Amino acid sequence: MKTASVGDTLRIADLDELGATTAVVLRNLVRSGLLADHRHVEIDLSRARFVDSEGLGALVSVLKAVSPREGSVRLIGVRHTVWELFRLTRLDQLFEFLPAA
Amino acid sequence: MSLLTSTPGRTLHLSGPCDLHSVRTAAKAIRNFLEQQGVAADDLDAWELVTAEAGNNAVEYAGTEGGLHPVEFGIEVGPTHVELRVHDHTPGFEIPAAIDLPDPLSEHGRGLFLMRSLSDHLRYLRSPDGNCLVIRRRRAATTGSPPDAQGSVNEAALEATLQAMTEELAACYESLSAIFRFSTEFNRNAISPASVDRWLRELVAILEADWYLLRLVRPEAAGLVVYCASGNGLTLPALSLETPGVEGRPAEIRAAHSRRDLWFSKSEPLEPTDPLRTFGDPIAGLTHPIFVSGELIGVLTLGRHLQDLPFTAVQANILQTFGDFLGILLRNAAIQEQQVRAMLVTHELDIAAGIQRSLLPTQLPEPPGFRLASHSQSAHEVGGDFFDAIETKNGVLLVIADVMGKGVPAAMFAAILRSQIRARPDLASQPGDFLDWLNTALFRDLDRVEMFVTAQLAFLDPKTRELRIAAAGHCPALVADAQGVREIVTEGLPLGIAVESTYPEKRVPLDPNAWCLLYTDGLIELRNRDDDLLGIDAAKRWLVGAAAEKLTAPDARVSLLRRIREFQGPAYPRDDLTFLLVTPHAEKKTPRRKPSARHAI
Repeated sequence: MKTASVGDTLRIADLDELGATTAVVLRNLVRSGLLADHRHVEIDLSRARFVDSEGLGALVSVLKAVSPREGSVRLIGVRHTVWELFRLTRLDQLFEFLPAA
Repeated sequence: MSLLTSTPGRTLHLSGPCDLHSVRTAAKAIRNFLEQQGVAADDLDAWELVTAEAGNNAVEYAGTEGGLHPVEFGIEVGPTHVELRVHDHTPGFEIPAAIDLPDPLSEHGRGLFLMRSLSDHLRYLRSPDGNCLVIRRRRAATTGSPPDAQGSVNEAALEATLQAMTEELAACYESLSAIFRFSTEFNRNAISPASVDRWLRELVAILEADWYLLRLVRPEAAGLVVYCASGNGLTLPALSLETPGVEGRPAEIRAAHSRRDLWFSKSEPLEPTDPLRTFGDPIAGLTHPIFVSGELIGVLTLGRHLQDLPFTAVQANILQTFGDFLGILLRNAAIQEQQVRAMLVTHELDIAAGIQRSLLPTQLPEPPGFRLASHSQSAHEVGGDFFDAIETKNGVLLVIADVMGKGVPAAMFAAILRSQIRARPDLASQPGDFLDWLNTALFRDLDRVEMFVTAQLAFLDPKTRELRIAAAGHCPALVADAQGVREIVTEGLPLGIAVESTYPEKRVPLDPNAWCLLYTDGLIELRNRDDDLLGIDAAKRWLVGAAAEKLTAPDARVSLLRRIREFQGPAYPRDDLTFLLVTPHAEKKTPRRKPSARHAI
């Protein structure tokens, strides 16, 4: 997992999965990487085949971190099976989904 | 994550430390296993997620104590369903009837919802030894085919599923019919190692196995004892269940302690010292612990020689079903046997008590110038005490005896003794010779059963007012008269001890106020609540007191019983207690019209 700061956006890439163990890493990464001028967080999930409820919880925590800044969380290249999970838990309403670059 | 037991069939068992990383590893391993089993791709995603959710919960709620235990996973692939079992050591929880999603902005609480949504069956079994989450999900119909394969059906996979279903149905039919057959047989005949052996031989044939071993729990051996087995198995020694730990223990003990089936094969061999190796090397098989109502009944193992071909899931299922059914039969048989035995014991005691009651005289003779009183009680249902008072032409023979032993045998000997004594009225007036004769007559029988009898014979001659006493190892009689109270000690071994015994007699003249007490040791060895003995001195004091008070025989009997009860308090009698009392009796001077009508033998 690596981060990059692009303007008002914190980009996170290279997530092979977002399960209970990586969720902790993501939370810490966002907590420490989110700068004052960041409004949005982009997370590239195109490689992530596996996401569990802890991973979803971590994404919600990111959302809660940016919402006071009136920002958004954009999820890039979410695979079909993972997207089904967002739909099932009705979290598809909270995030922006963008195709892979 | 360590792979503890892997069955190259349709089940996989995994065990790992209680942390999130090992859960992740387990979820991946289960996905790979299911993929190898031809489970559909959609199902693979669902199972990977469900395994992770169940495992994460087991880790998250384990706490310090629970975290010391491993998290265990078991997955089984059936023709129509896949079932996952996750064992945890958390305080446990209740699955709510309706599982709702949490607030959208909640960071937790979606795991249970996902498990419910992705499964057809979700149950949580709780026990003090750990809990088990059972999740079952119907398999997707198109196995192995990718979702974008234009809906084409993988015919080979479908055929495989049909084949497996047919096989399972056939096996179910076979096992059901066998169970019916044997339950009918067991209704007709008692369960025995031979009948169970016949049954298990058939099971061996059904499962294409080569041998079996059935051990049952025997509390007296504190372990598992061979009940029946093929070949060499019968000679195997018992296995102790009390050895702590499972590492390095025989497979049967490990299965019993872990309450789980244990597979072994060439690739997962038994310990070098495992007794199952008596069936050959290499061997493959399955050890199934049999529990009925949570109680270990035994352990059943079936195996094959010289090949590494394990049982299929269906065969394992049949073995488990047969084993559990057999456990119920054996348990029921044991309960029935206990009931019958208890009934027999009660019945035996009834018989013995009946025999004993019939031996005691219902009415005591009334020799001129004397009166008799008696009492006999048993500490148990049946005692070994016995007394008699036999009227002869010249007097009355008083007999008091204690057969060493309890129950029916003691009562039987008392009956024999009584008939022997009653058979020889000619010897009544010579108690010493009488005991000599009795010893000779009874010695062989008593010696054979290692029993003996203490006895005292006292012939009361009313004309001469003389008591002729001889004893065979019995407590001395007590006599109280004008000279005071004394013990009449006579020598002689108990009946049944030595074939050549002599019984010297003592002649005791009885003055007009003389009292005599014959008794068994239960009287003087009576104990109270503080464990004090009543003792012979107390008996003497009572006798002197009763004589001084000039009590009648019935009143004296009541007085002695009261004395016993006062001393004993609420303590329960520990031994049989019998006494026979001779009191003086002033005959009325009215002339008798007739001699006594009492029948003399």
